[in-house]
Amino acid sequence: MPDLGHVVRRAVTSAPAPDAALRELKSQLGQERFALVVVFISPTHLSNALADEINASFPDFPVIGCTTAGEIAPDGFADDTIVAVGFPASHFCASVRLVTDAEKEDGAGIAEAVLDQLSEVARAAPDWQGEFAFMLNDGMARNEDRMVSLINPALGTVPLFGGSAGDGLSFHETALFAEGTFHKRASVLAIFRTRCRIKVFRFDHFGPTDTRMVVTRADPERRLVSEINAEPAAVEYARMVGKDPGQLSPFVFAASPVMVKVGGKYHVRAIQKVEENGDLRFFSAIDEGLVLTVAEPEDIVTHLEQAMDNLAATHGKPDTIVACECILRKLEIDQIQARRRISSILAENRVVGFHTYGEQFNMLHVNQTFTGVAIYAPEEADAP
Amino acid sequence: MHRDAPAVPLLRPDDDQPRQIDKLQRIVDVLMHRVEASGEDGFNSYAHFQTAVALEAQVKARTRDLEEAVTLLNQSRARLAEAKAEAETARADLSNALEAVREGFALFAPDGHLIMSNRRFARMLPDVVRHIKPGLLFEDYTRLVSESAELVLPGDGSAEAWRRNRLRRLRQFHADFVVELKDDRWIQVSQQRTPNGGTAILQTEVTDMVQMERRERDKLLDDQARLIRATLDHINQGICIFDADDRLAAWNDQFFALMTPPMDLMRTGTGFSRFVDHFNTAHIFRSLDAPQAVVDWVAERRNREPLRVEFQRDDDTILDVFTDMTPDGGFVICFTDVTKERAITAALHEVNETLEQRVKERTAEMQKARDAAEHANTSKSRFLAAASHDLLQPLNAAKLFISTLEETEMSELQADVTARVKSAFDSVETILSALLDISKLDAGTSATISVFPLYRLLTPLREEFQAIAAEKGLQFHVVDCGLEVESDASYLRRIIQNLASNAIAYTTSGKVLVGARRKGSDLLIEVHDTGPGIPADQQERVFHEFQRIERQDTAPGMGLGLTIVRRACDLLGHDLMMDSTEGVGTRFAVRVPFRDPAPAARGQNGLRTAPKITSLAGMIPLIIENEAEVRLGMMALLDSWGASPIEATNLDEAHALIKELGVVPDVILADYHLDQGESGLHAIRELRDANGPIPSVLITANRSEQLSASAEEEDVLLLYKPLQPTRLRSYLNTLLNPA
Repeated sequence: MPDLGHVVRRAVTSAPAPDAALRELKSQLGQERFALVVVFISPTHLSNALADEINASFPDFPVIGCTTAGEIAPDGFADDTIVAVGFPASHFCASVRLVTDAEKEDGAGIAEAVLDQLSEVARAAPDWQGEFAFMLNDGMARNEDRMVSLINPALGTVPLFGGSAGDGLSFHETALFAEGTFHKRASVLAIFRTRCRIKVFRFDHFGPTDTRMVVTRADPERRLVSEINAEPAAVEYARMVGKDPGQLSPFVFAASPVMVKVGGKYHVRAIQKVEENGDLRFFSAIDEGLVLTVAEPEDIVTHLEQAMDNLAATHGKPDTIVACECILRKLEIDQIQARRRISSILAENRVVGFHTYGEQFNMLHVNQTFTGVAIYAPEEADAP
Repeated sequence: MHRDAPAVPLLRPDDDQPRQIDKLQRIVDVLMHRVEASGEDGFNSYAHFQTAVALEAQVKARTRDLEEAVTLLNQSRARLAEAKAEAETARADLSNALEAVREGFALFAPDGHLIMSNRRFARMLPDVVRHIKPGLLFEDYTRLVSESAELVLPGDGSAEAWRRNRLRRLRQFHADFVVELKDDRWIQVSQQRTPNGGTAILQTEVTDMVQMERRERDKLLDDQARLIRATLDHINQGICIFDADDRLAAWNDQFFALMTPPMDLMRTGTGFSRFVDHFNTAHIFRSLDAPQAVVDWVAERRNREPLRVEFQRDDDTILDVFTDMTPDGGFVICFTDVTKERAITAALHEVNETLEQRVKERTAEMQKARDAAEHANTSKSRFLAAASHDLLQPLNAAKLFISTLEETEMSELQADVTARVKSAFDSVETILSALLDISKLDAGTSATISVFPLYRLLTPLREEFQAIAAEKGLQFHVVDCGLEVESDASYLRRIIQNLASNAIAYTTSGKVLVGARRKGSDLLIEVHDTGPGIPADQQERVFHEFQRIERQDTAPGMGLGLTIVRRACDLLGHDLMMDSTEGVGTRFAVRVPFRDPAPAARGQNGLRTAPKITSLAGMIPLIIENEAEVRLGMMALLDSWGASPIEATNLDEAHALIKELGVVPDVILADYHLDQGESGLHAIRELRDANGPIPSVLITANRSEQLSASAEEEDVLLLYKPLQPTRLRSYLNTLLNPA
């Protein structure tokens, strides 16, 4: 029996029928009143019937969610499931806002809306100190950077994390759930205030090598790179990472991503796939003239263990960690057959979440990271 | 972090030069464009990313700075609040303290403004006091006082002069002076400069002092009186002194405070009788006995011994009163307040009493409980004993009647029934005596430990059981032992009896052997049988009352025998051991401490033989001797040397014993003259023929050459009577160590 949580409630179901699935989720979440429930939905479950069942099952509080490239259930990696995370009203209050594609294009009023959200939670729980923002983005719309640039001025120093919805390994279409229905190309921003202590974090397990290359032709709008070092992109990338161009696959991209150095630090730019014409499609923003450095991974298992220990260092073991983990990490983990070990570390550290097409950490849209929020039990004096 | 492999070159090694130059040109172009284009053309995702990274760093730094600033601010704010609170507290404390003092107090700042004052300040000048408020200038204050209607100006001085004089004093660091007010009231003013240049003023009303001083001055006091006065005032007791005419000569403040007499009595020359009158009418004492004793003491003029009594006042004060004569024929009375001491003593006394009472109660309770337990125990034992005893009486009668009946003519049937009735009564008798034994053991006090030779128990045993065993077709042997044991003779007999009778009862064929052997410092009295043995899972049960091993073929038993054995062993502190193998037999052993009689024998000779180097442990000498006394002596001797002697009275017995034990003795010690003309030498010869060349000793008083020769010829050592133990011992030693 997996650990279903203490303060934050966690649930998972693999029932294919929407009504059965929601029944299971609801019974695992328990009778508590929630400030918000977040659901991570395998694309195999995506249907309007599911949306109806969600609305019928949780009529009293908001539910948001997204499709995934894999779920992190209470007992570790999962596929074809729905994972639910319940934030009880006794410890959390939340304000949710759906931002549609059209609103993003326009841009007007979005920052103001964020300010409203902030003041809403501040009014609801003035005594609670913990505050963070959680953002879900469409995984195929490539507008994460735009979204964050719109909300950032209002968000200020409130830590933000989130992820881009996934579609398994199909890269076809992703969806967000909010306001009772599924949406395309949208974003959802939830702002939390909590009596719990929290820490928003991000880590990856890559370091730079000496091999570098220059993007000589690109389409930033579509995150496409067509030329590297004045050669066709895919072929040249393959040469730089020592692979045959015919071998290029998500597994190669996962093991050998490239990084850009900005502000004295390296940031992973993950490759999504090779287009028909030999272009490379990226998960995050790129541009012509970028210097790309080939990255080299550390042992992902050891690294994760260490990272989890670090999170437990100050306030003890977190009550729950809600994580957005890059699909490429999942691919690497499966390739080295470490799924079981990774799952047990995640279960041990009470991690739930999903596999993304990109992660959001404060203002940065990044790839191949493990990004999330660690929620700790409130300090004793603050306990209800 | 960096991989060991060298970096992959930017350009393909197989490119020709023009191609390489083209590519480099292209790379340089995009890099240049990138450098220059930063921040242009509308929204660019990557540009945003770049900005975000930069902003992220800035935000982090700013946030940290801000947090630090806020922390600092909070800290200093907290410190400020703390300091404020402290100042506030100090101020409150000060003003509380000032209100508490009896004097009037005021503090003026260096610039002359009044900072604070208490309510007593200037209270005696009602026309001034209403002007006293913070901010009042000292000069104005002085003017107000000088013009006050209450002030008596010294001499014919004007208010103006008084004021000037007063202000002049202000320049002094410290000043004390007295101010006269109307109606003969006086104030002493102390003025002190504060460290920061301010002025503190203290006003004390000294009217009483001034008046008293004046009165005192009026009196003519001689030096001696002053000295007495000073001494008296420093004593912690209340003292009053009367002269030879019973008139008050002196007293101290303590007396006044303790006895609170009316002021008018407190004058030199007041007669003692006036005090008596006063206290008689004042009714302040609980009992008048003690005061009366003092009055009587005073009245009895001569040869008075000092008197010590206690006055109990109606306010619960206890006064220790001591009277004594003074050299001039007067007397002194001392009063000491001992209320507290008495209270403590009383409390201690009470605690002590309570404790004692509690101890007594508990002791009584425990005694009662112990008595009840003892009573329960004894009444149970007594009941058992009485019941067993009372039942034995009619039983004996019944047995007598049966014996009589047996002697009459009876048909076969009648005889058979009579036999059965007798047998049934026998069983009842056995059970009853067993119960009697158990009750005695439970009483637990009847054991009498003494030292006695074991054969005294074993020899009768042989006679007792030989016949019963023979009746069942069993062989019964008792291997005697010459050692003395330390035990209760009757209980130990009962133990061995029960074990032996039990063994015989349960053994259907074979033999039962009773014997003793040394084990370390103890003696094991063992009873072996070749009975059916006790199954391992029942071995513990056999010691419980009325527990009998379930078997069909056994003789009837009560199941009490082993219970008695165990209880008796427990009572005597003897270990009881048992090992049993089903189908083979059972061994019971009782471990008993023993005494070696040998040292006593040596003591009588006054000699110590050479220290025993070797023990004869394990050696089995066979003694063939027809005289019981001699045989026992030999057994004891050999036993004391550690050997395990066996004994026989003649050749046949010896044969049987060897056969039965299945052991060939290590040495034969045979008496020459055996019963019925049998010769020891013959016995040796026969035994050697049957069992091989056993070393042998012939003991005799016959010193004939012929016998000596025969013995030598047959390799038999000849020892003459009286036997020299050392000779025998040295021979046995050589057997043990052939070298």
